[in-house]
Amino acid sequence: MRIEDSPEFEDRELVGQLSELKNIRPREEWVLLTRSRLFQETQSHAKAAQGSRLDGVFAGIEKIALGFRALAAKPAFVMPLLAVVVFGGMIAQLAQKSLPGDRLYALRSTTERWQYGITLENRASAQLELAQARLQDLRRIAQDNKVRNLDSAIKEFEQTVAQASKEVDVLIQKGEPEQTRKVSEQIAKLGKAKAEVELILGVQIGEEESANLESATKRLAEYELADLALRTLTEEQQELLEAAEIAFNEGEYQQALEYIFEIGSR
Amino acid sequence: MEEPKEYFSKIYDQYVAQIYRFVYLKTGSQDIAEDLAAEVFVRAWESYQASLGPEEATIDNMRAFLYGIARNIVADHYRREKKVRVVSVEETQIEVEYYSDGLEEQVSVRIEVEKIQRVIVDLPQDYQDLIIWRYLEEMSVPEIAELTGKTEDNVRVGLHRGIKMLREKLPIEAKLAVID
Repeated sequence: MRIEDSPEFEDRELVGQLSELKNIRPREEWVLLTRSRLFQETQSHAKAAQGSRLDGVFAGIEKIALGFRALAAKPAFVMPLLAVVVFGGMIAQLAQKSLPGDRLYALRSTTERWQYGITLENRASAQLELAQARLQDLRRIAQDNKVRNLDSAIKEFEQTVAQASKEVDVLIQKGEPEQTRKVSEQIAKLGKAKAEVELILGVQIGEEESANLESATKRLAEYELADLALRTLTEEQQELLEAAEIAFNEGEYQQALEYIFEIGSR
Repeated sequence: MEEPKEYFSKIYDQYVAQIYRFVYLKTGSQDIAEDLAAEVFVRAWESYQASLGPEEATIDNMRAFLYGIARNIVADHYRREKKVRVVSVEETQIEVEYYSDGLEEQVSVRIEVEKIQRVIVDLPQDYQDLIIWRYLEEMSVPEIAELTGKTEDNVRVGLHRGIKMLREKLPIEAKLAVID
């Protein structure tokens, strides 16, 4: 029986809209990486062989990819050029697995910026996503014991966080509630992930940049609290608001944001 | 006889998009969906290897097996995480008229789809599962009953309640007027 004819369902429009969700698909790079993670043993020999053959190619690709980074703010240039360079999909796959300090990392960094769709409207959010990606790199480095990549990865994380802090300030000044809430959530998530990675690595990373991000967290919490003070809240929400204000006054800005998120979910 | 890796590799190719979509719709986050969906296949591969004996693979219904793991992993995720989401306190009625311009039509459809996607995350897990399996993966009621171990009547009732809840939670729908 066709879904549209099923007796328990009358709203054809909702069916059609639900069907649109079938277009949700995973990223191709993730699919490939996950498969390789499943069958790591058999692929390790193949990877080693690939590496020696492609060294000469990597040098050329790296040089071009560094040029791409300069053009990354101009999407119109990036995609056609990437289409020329990334032949056969093989280089793209290898680039996706690269870490800061690797030869193909510049290419990966450029494609990431395209993937996260950095536009004027969502710079803060995109930069925080990139910071999250850099933390994932650090986690991988720790798990795979790739010590030679560590310094580059920490530096990349610090630069991304510094940029994110600046963009968050711009966003607060613009005063866009939806974007601000999304960014608040991202900062809370980033803070937790950073703490986990620091625990794994055994070092603190990006101290100065984290202080800047903490300042941004404080400003975001201030903005959210001011916004909530103007709203009509339920008793439960009011209690959460008071808890958020107490946390804010004690300097626990991330905790204050978490209470603020709770208000939104009640 | 097919090698286990070759066999499981085909299973992976066949179900990876479905499992990812299932987890994504239940969590609303690409990052989380990628992590959890990957974990589904890692666990499935380990279980499959453990089940191999002198004969062939003993997992009869791989789809049910994968979905079962996926449900458990998502449930574990919610138990571990304190999930907080910011929901807009404003609900506005959006009236969109779309013309025969393809781009505007795409944008308005996308808005509706994103709204539904957000609401699905808020539904109870059982209703999420039923809606996804029935209306996205186009499984029949008997297939869903077999997958879940429930009766067909239970599945139908669950679907009816799930859709009703979905409709109630949606903001006032955009009214679309086709203008020729």
